[in-house]
Amino acid sequence: MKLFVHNFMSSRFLKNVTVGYPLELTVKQFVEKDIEFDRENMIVMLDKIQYEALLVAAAAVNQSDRIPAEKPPKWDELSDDQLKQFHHLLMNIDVVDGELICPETKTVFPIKDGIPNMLKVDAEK
Amino acid sequence: MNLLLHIFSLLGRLWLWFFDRFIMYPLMKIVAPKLGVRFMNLGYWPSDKPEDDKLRAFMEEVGHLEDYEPHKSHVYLYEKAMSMHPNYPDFENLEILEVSCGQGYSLEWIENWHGPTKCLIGCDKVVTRNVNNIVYGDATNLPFADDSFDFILNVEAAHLYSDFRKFFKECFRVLRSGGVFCYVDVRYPRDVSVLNDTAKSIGFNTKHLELCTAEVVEGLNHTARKHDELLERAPLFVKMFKKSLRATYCAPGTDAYERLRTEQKIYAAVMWMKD
Repeated sequence: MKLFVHNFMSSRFLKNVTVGYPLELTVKQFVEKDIEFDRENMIVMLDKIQYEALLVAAAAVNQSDRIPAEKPPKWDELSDDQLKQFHHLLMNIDVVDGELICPETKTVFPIKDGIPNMLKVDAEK
Repeated sequence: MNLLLHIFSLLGRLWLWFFDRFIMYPLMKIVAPKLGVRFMNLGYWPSDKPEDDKLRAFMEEVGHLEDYEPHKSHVYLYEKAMSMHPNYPDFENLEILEVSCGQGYSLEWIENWHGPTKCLIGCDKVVTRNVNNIVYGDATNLPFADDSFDFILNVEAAHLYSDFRKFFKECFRVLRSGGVFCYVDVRYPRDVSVLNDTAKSIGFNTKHLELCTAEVVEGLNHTARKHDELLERAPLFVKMFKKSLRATYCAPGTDAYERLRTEQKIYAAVMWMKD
């Protein structure tokens, strides 16, 4: 699971969960790939990113220092080097083994072989 | 005698209902990669009607692709669904979710030929291979945040869902305002207006509704031939279900095929928008 996928995910479908976002993330194993950087595509992607969730994901892989603690006001004012840090987190990091956790109920959703299991029936077993 | 035939017919349909939901997908999870099955939809073959102009033009531009030639009819069905999107064929910079993406070959196709998308995520209850950005998830409990996607794609899967109203509500929730939901599926004729009314009652605006049963029947003449060949090469434990599998992919000669050919069942392509 690439880290950008985490930015979309929520446990709102669980009973008694009102927001379920961002999901907590624990990472037991991840791999770093080398996906080609494209400045324009990265800016478009960052434009709608939920920064709070991105900080959670960065902390889960111990790479919080790559990005600022506050959301930059304008993405297109960042240098290529700064944008590459975001690119690395969102596109290059692939979580192989870990867990997503509902922030409200603490329900655990395992990530195995890179695939998060968000099935309610499995989570409620 | 008639009553007996009726009971057998009902039992046969009940078995197929059960087979579709509880046997076929676990079975395909095991054998699909070995047999080279990439898509499990009925297929589509474009006609010369104006609604197919955009997709015909696009596929002519794509040209002959050796790798996709055996899957062309399945790809056409995807193209049919996507061609209802106002941006078709260019989905660059859209955030897209495919609900029930199967093995994820569709995601690769979309990214290669309609991208680069801003993001493309697939969601399915049965995941058969580890490709990027697939999530185990239920269509009626989508594991995504509100207002996350610009475009939701759903190809021939919703007839298997336990609650289509809940599925539509979930799609409405995770779509952004202005987002597009493209849907193609096989249905009983009476169901189509119910589906559309349900979508509208949730808040969707119907932008396109088309019946394309004849094109799907033509498509499945192509897909069934290929599947029949694969079935001949399949292991014995798959061949055991030959009759049920042929009914599932509506092979010519089966009751399922006849129901489509005579339009007792029909195929609908609908595009809704969240205004």
